[in-house]
Amino acid sequence: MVKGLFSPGMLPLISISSRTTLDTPTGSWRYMRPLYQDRTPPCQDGCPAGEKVQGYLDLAKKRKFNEAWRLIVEDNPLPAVMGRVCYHPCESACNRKDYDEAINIHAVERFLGDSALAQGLELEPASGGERGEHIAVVGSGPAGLSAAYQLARRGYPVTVFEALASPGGVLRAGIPPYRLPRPILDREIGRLQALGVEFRTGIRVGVDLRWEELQRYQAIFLAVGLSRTRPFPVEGARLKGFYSGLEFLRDFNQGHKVRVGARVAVIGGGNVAIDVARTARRLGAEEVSLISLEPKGELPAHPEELEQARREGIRLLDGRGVRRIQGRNSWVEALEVARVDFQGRDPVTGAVAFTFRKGKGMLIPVETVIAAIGQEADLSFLPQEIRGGGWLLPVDDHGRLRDTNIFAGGDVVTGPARAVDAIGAGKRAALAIHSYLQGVLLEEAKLPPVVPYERLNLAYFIPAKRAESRSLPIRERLAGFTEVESGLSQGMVRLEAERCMSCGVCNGCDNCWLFCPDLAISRKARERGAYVINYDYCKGCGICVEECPRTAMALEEEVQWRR
Amino acid sequence: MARDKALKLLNTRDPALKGLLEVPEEEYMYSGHNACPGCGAAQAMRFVLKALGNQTINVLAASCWSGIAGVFPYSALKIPVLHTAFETAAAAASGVRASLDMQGDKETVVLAWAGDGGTFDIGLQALSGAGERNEDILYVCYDNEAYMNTGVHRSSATPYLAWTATTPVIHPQDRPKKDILAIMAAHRIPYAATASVAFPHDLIEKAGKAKGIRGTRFLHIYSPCTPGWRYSPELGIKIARLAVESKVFPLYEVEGGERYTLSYRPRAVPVREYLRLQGRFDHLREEEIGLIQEEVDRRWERLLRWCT
Repeated sequence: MVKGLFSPGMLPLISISSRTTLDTPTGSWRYMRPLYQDRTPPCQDGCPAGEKVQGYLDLAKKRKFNEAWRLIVEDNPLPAVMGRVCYHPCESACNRKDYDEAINIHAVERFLGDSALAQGLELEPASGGERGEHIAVVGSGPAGLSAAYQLARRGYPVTVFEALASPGGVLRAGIPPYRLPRPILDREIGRLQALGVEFRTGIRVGVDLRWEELQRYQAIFLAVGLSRTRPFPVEGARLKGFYSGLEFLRDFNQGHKVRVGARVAVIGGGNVAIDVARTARRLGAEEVSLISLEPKGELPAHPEELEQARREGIRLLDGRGVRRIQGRNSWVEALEVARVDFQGRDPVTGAVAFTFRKGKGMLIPVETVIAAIGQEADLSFLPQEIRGGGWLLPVDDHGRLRDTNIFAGGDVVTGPARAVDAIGAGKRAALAIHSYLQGVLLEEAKLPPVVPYERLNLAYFIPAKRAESRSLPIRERLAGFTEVESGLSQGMVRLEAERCMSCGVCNGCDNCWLFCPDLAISRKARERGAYVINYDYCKGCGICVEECPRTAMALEEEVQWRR
Repeated sequence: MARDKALKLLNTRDPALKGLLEVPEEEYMYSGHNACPGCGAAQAMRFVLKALGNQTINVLAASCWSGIAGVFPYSALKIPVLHTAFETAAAAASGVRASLDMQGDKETVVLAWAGDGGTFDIGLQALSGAGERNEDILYVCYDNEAYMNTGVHRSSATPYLAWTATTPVIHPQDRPKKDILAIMAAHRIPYAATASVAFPHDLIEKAGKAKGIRGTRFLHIYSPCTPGWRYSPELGIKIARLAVESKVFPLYEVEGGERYTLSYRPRAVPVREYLRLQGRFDHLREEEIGLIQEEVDRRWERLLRWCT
């Protein structure tokens, strides 16, 4: 107030306001109410393990790498492994792919996993104390490891049975080391041991341990995957020089001597076939052909894997089938390959339907033939009444075999799927087992709706190139089994995390605060990362909601709130 | 050639590139003011005062803001406000400046604040006089392109072919919008600039720059009006942003009446996208939208020539 104008006993020279508009609570004008309402980012929705991708990208952006890692291991105990081997459905779901390029999420996850390993971070049990019920997990692939971890951190003693000499399942016996260096796998599994998970390896249930002996456990989780090769129904499969893809990889990955000829034909169009082809190339095969029934573009293999195979000089013969394998002196000599009409694949059994076209086939001279045409479950160790009559284990919505304490998950339930599907299956099974043992109702995780690309306010984003990790030159790759991808540096990881649009989750960008014409949003009093709206003065114009770049706000009818 | 040179001079600053300028935390406005929900004029005042600070006297001509600032005995601003008549913002501000000068106060900023009616039409001679004398004031025109407070009546800031209560659909505005910045530049005042509430960082930066300059400074702020332009209130910032992106309202500065500098490179959105969000343009036919596009493009090319 101006001095002198309010002298005692004097009227001011002109009329002067003595009060502020804070006396007039204009919130009463409002008929729409803005509110902060986080939604589900598409990356999290796209991740079968339910990783909170936006959350750890945001932490990585702020250099909080350890906190970011802790957030990942809530849902997945193997970030360094999965950052390498996962086919990252999160990136296919990422909204940024419609703007410029998807965030390189798997590279960030890998960096966080490696950084935690380098620092020796350990998995920590969740609060809740120790529990008495002992649980058996059969199979130590991604589903078994994930379930064992989730149960162990909830305080349960867990014993994992593995038929092979060391744990890891398909991660160890299937995936070649140029995609997953073994020390990484060993150390992330070692961390589960440190958490208290007991591994009993070299024990095949039904052979080394009777099924009945598992009955002393309070719950059993079956995650045996698909361990048996589907028989190759073509003449000549008994010749020397013919292998099945699964056994080929298993033998090689266990350090057994594996030899291939100079010319190798790999039959199959899936990811295993590509692993086999790339491994054969590294074992010295000069000509590797990949023969798939599916035409190009319909191959079940991940496009990135296919591209890497192409770069390594692997020839794709798509839309073709093998009529017979020609032998000489009981050794493989050539393949007869002909064009086919591909009619489809059964997603559960993996069985394919196709017909050969008329006309002469092509004879390809080869020394080695490896068929990677799919796997099936080996359920012979289970009593008939448990395994049922099907290809896979019949379970209810919660992964439980009817009226038993036996649960199952992973490929043995779903048929061939990705490692990350198994991580998610293991997590869900652990929750189901926990609910079953404690006699509590299984809480269904209800996520808010997913934010589609169209709901973002693109005015607030700038195009930025995706950071790609470098891959090894072809010559160095073929010289051995050195890891192909080099990963991202810390600086690149931060830049990549900066690109995240944080779809549906407030990341404190200030837009709502900045544009409010009524000064009704305060940013000093942020609560849980959000701001506070003063409804005494908010007139409900909705600008904050409209200008939120990421749809972390909503506008609702005021009437609902007045009732 | 000239055009290429001008394009090189473009500052590619983007609203998403925050951090170039931290928005000051301090507020000099109170909640509870009388602006309509989503009012651009309220945002304009809030941003300008964040740059000027509390050592500011606001001389407020009759306008929407006369009501927004609160009816007696209320005030919506934390700084002194002198309400004055429609045509007198620049003249009254000159007087306040003279009084401060006599008291030896060179620090206090005198902020003349008027709408487009009070600037483009009614207050133009007072503004011209102040500019010609190079009075040490900062004059802000918040432009909502009509006399909104009196009931959406056309002003000389109303854009070509727009609907207002006095330019109905059967006879929409038939003259182009007056180029107020060119008029002010012709006075050779030290600083004149356009700004938009959709680009608060740019706006606050320009107000701060104006604060540091002596003499007459003029800010022309694009300020959307929900009832007058007939759009849903949440769209105000979007419309203001599209006005800039479609080159309808380019952001630029004029120093010393001659040096033109573009502040932002528009993304060249077709004017149709800007027009279709507003009820005041609902009646436009395709060929009329084409006319507006031509006019906008012509003015943009002219501005680029000046920017060399």
